[in-house]
Amino acid sequence: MTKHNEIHPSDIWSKDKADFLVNFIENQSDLQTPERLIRNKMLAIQYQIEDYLESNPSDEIKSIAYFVKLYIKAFDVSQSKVAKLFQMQESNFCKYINGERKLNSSFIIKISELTQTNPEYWLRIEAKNKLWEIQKEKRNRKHEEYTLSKLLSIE
Amino acid sequence: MKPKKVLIKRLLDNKYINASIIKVTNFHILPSITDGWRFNFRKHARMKTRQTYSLVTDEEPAIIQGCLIYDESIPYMAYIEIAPHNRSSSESQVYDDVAGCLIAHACRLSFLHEDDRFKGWLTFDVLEDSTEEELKLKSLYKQKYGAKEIPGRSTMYIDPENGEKLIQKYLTRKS
Repeated sequence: MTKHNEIHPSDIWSKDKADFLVNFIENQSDLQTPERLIRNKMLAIQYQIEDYLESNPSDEIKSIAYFVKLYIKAFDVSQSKVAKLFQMQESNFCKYINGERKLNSSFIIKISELTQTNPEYWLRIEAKNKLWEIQKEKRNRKHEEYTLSKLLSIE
Repeated sequence: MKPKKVLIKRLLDNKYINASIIKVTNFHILPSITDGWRFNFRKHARMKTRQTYSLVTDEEPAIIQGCLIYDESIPYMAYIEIAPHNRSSSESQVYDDVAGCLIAHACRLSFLHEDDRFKGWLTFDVLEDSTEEELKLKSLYKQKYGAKEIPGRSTMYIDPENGEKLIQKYLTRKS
């Protein structure tokens, strides 16, 4: 087996190196097209959604509104503009993203097209959050009155 | 954080098998020079801004196939190494695409950087015992992973466009 010299952290990392890299990336980033910059932000949000869908139920709950607002910020547009694109009143748009109205196919198609994400992601966020609400309620309430034995005892 | 599911190629029969990239918090399980690895992951994982990941197969989760230390302060791949039995130079190489999966994972992590300007930019250094080996490894990174050199430096980088391609290639495979 070939013996290699161990590479120590000081061989590869220093404040000067860190400063150089920060400067380098900032300069390279400035050369990106606006489309590429938006694409980077969109991918970042998509990966956040994916990580959220795989996260444990006890972790922080993130609503559909949370992710939609990240996209709106990334696009640098207003919420009303998105509602206009979706051909709906802003109040209705808010109801969908805040969970006051259940997602329907039309809304899912629109949001997944705009964000270039899989429609399944939005349904899964809704389902995950709903399931968390149910589990939370179950922990806080007794449901022993809704058992099979109780049902069979009803005359 | 739940393990990320990936597929790597088993060279015995050229089949893709299930593996996972796991975030490591118990540093005692990490490999070091005494295990025949080049880098002392057990030691280097302890820095505050660093995250450490190992890649293991579902069929043998106790054996680490590759290791990555990622520094989130600047998207920087501080250390990456394939297990001695997986090196392409080894006659008994068992799996392929381990490095690809880990590099793609580092690219994915770089997109999650809080500063929009840094999203998708992954940097790393290539340091070998000889200039010849360095040139060879840099060439591999360029050809296989779309990395680019910073002239006059040991540092290379993968830009967001190429990072996205690597993530598509290595992290979204279906069996």
